[in-house]
Amino acid sequence: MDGMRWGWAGAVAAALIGLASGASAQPAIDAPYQPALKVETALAATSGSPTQMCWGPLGRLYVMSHDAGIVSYRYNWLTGKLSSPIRAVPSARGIGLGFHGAVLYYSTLAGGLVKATDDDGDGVYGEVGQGERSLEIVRGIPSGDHAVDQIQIVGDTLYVGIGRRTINGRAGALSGGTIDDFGGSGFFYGGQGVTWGDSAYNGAIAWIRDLTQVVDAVDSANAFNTPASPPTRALIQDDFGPYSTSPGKLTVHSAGTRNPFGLCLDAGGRLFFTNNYNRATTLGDGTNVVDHARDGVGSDLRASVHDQLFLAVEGADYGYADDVWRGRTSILPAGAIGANRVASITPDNLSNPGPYLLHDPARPVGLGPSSSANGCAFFDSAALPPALAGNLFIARYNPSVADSSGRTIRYADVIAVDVTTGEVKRVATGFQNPIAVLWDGANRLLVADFTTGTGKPGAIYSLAVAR
Amino acid sequence: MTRTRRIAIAIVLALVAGRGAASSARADFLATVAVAVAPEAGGWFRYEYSVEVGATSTLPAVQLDIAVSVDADLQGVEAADGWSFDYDAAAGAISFFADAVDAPVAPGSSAAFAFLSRLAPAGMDYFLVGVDPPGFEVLDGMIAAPGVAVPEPSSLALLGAAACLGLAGLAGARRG
Repeated sequence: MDGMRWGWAGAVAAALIGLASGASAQPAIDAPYQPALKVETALAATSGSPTQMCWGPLGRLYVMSHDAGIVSYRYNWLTGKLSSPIRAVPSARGIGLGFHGAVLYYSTLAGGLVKATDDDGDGVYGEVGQGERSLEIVRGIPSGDHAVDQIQIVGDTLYVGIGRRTINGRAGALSGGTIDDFGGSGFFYGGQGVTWGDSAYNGAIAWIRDLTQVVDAVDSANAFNTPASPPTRALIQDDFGPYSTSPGKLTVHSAGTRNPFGLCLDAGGRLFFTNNYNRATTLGDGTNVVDHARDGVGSDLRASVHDQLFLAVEGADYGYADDVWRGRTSILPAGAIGANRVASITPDNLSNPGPYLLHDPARPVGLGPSSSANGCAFFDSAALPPALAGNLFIARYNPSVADSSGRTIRYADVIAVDVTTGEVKRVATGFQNPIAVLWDGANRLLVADFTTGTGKPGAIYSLAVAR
Repeated sequence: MTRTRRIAIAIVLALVAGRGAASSARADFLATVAVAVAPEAGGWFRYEYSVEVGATSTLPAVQLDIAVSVDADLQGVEAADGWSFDYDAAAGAISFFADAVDAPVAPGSSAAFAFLSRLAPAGMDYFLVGVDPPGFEVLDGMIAAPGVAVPEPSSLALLGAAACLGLAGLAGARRG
């Protein structure tokens, strides 16, 4: 999915277009890894289109679907079978989820973060009528072309990626694909997409450093100082609240991303994330790009900036454009050339002065331009082949991206990244729209496919170690 | 049953480390799985599994999955209080799982599970899952479970062979 590049509605449309174009291959392991890995047929069809999976209380697998809520399954570690589905939060509409003890947190497409409990232990969360809690502890995070993304929780700390409301981090004309702050329409809909730019939350890895300090009240963890809804120019351009440091509020951990969709943790608790870059041509200087008008693919995919993979570092600047906040906060210095700049682990073309090669998804260097690198997970099975040991696995999802010169790239695969070298290997392909991955702690990597065909819900496959 | 036939084959697998999932950065699941196999009248073997979670473990045990032969034909399955089971004969798997919020085997406690089979023990895969979100960890290895058809007549010699299989399973226990 050129995922959050086009906003959620755009992403769904893109997925459907891709499916209609005839992508019908079955998932399969790439040749170098076939002796060691196999793809297991769909373990379960999901209720909707999944966006993140996580392990919850009693070892159940929880799946967030952006259009059908949260469903949990019992999982069998021997067979990989999923059974006994429970509609945990039927009304949820979001991307990310995670657990802190028995408490569920999930993001919403409306720009919220919800805390929900299951006090009666029936597996259904937030049954307010029965005394359970369903509190939108943050609401009104400005969204537009991107949304509030995946969540990870480690210890008492919650991390969430927050995409930009703009298409490119800019303010003014042609910065909103789906939004316009001045009464018009976004450029995807034929308008000029004129915006105020992004708020302090947008394009950030945000965190609640100590979930135990969150007050049980609506909007209690919102760090904005001004009313968040509806968004105003003052909120977008002048509210520094998210840069505060209150441990019980959602604040900025690091910034300078575009759409940090996939969040994942290694065994030591280090946070990594994928970042969907916009359609832009590199200038080779490590930072600056030429944005393509109306987010078009442009004439030369070879020189386009790739999606990125970062190790999250507190206080880091990941270098993306931000017309509103650069030079106004220490975390985002003007020019993105401060000492806190963190570069992508994988080659992204930003520092490549050329010559440029067309990205080959089967032999990837970097994550690829417009690849919609999304969910990620470490797959630490001891039985993996040495070339994949310790690698981070990422789902890529973009049915087809073609430049005006006729170059076309298709992504529907799972790749592995050596996070120490940035080397990328394709491991499996033939999915429809893979978007989320999760290790089962043993011999399988679960892969969530966003859809299994036009108008159809998604499915969960697994890459299993052959034993 | 004679005293001799009451001799159980006990295999204890000490699990000091498992496979920590990404979200378990601070989790440390310390647990052991042990099995006692005793022949019973009518050609049955009774398999008794005990799960013990160490007092210093940061995670409780929530699920125990054990591979068995597709011919195991398990009978008389017993699960710990608050736990249920799912026996998939065709897949050769039995899964015991905590089915209530207060059912997980807490640190410093244990739980027992049992079933009958006419098959003698062999080394089979198992998975023991520890979860206290965001902590999550899976221990795996091999343990004695129904895997070997017993030719008539059953004898102590067979028990001896079964013991050897079980010990082979111990030697093959995998650590993450």
